[in-house]
Amino acid sequence: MGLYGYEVIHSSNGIIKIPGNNVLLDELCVIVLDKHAADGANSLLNVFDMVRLQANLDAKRQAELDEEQASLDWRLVAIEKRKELKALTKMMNLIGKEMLKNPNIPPRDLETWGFIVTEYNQSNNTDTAA
Amino acid sequence: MEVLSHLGRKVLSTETQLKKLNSAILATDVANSPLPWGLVTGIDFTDKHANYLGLKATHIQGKQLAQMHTQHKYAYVKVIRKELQDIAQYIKVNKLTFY
Repeated sequence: MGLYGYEVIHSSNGIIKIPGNNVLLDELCVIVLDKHAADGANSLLNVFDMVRLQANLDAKRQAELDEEQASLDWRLVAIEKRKELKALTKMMNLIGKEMLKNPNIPPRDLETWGFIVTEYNQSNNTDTAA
Repeated sequence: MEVLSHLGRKVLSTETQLKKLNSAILATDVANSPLPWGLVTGIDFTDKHANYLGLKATHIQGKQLAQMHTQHKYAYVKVIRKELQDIAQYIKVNKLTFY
C-alpha cells in the first residue's frame, strides 16, 4: 500500500487511512496516478477508470483556483464598497450639518430627508432624592 | 454610526438613513429647485449612492460565486475520496502483502 501512497495503521488491523486534509488527499491522488502510470500495462489499477480520476483531480484543482480568484475579487470589491460607504456617510454628515445650521429648516424637517434628530439636555444638573 | 450635533441636537446616520436621503433627493427636482446645501450637491450624493449600490450588488454576487466554486471543490473532493477508497480496498484484497 505504501507504494501507492496509502498509510496503513498496523495497530488497527491494517486499517487504510484516507486523508481528510484536502492537500494530503491531492498528494495521495497524485502518487496513485503516478504509480499507475509507471506500472503501465502491468498496473494493478487497470480495472479502474484512472482517466476519470485524473479528470476529477484536474477539475478539483480548477475549482480551487476559481474559488481563490473569486474570493480575491469580492474582497477587492468589499474594500471599494467600504470606501464608498465612508464617503457617503461624510457627504450625509455635511448635508445634515448644513441643514441643522440653516435657520429656515426646522430640525423636525430633517426627518423627511432621512435624518434622525434627537434632542439632548446639555445640563449636568441632576435631581437627587431626599 | 456617526452623530452630528448642533445647538443641542444630534443627527444619526446609518446605511438606512443614506437610503432615505437618497430617495428624498431623487424625489426632489434638483434642476429647478436647488437643494438647501452647498458643500455637497444632490447629484453628487445620488451618483455616489448609485455607485455604492452597484458595488454592494457586485460584492454579493462575488461572494456567491466564490461559494459556488467552494461547493464544486468539495463535490470533487468527495468523488476523489470515494475513488481512492475503492482503489485502496481493491489493492488490499488483491495483494496479500498490502502493507
